[in-house]
Amino acid sequence: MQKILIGILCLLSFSSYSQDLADKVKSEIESFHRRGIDTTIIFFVAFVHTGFPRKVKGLGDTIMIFDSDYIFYKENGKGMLIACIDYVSEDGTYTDIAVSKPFPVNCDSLFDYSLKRLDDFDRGYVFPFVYRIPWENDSVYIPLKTSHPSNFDVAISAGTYHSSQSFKGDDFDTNAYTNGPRNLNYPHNISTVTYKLYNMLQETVDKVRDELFFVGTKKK
Amino acid sequence: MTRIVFILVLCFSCLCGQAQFSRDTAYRQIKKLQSEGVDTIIRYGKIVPMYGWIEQSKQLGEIVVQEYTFVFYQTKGETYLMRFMTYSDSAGIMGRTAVSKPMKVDAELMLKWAADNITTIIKQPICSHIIKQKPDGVNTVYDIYYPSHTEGINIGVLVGKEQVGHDFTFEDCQYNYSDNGPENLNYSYNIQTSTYKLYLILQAITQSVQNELKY
Repeated sequence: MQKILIGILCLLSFSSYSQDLADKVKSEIESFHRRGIDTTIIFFVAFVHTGFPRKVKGLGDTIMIFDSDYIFYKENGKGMLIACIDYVSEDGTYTDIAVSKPFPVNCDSLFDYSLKRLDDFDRGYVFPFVYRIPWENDSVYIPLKTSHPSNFDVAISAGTYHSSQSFKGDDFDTNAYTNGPRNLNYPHNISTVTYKLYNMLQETVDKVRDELFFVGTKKK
Repeated sequence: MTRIVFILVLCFSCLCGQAQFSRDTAYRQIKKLQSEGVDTIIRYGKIVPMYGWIEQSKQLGEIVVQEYTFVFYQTKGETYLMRFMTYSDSAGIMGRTAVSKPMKVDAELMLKWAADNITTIIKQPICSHIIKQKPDGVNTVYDIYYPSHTEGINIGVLVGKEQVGHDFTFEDCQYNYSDNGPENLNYSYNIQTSTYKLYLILQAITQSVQNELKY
């Protein structure tokens, strides 16, 4: 009977591990608040049904990362970045959350640009990739659906101001594929503050990603 | 100890299997019918997440239905339908499930029409409710309309080894979502599709018999 009880408890525990990354980011933000830091920009990157094996300092040579949150902040006037990731271990035996050690980055232009445009950011809604195909004497409008979409969030907090925008990587594409259906929302999407911020964040993250040193919570 | 195990099993089953009862059970019934040699089957389901609609049932009284799936099939020259549903009973107890007994219906023509038009049904899904706006007064954008409590509809046609399934919402087939709301750009296409025609027939047949079903 005790074996049955343990088995059922194990099954129940498996059903509730997914909120970990969001909880970890929340606890990092709370720690910032305790240190008097109330201005952050968070860049969330998720590749649905896909992970990319890569070398990650502190974790191994072939880590499969699913979701990442990059948190930019300033402490004592210096730009800093920490990242929280949701990953599968090198030997594939467990999933875990890891947080990087704070890494200095030059994010003056990122903060200057975004903090001067908070109203525009609020209105910077990105619309989905929609294309048109002819049908008889009419048209049909279809949202692009891809099997492995990349999802992004940009969230800005500055004192009592909190706002975020969510979008997919495809939303900023001109066409579904070379010479494929045209994204009708492309002209609007690339005119948004969200798009400008997305490019700045992506560029900064690309420069420093491989330098970040992570500490996982589990031991091998 | 036995009681603790029982409660934990109950908790686990609630976590894993409360949603989509009708669709899952209908799927098992369809597999059973196919194994018995039934080769033309139509599935028609509706779900409103976090919501429901009131129905008067001769047998169950006044109930609030959360989701249902009808299965139409033909065997030995007769056409039958069955209904699978999740509902709240007249005492307000939520999460009740019911499966109707097979009921003979006059729907041979619909099954034949669906079988003859399956190629067109495959090619003509119902597309999302798309509206055109100018949020910044400069650029035109095309957005998907997401109502808060939409009726999700799913239709499946199985003919021999061919099968097609389409999911759409009630609002996809509406011209606009409020009297002065923007036009649904896919409205004229959607209402000309074979899928929409089949949906109208299924709606008419099921509404005429649902109160007569025995569970």
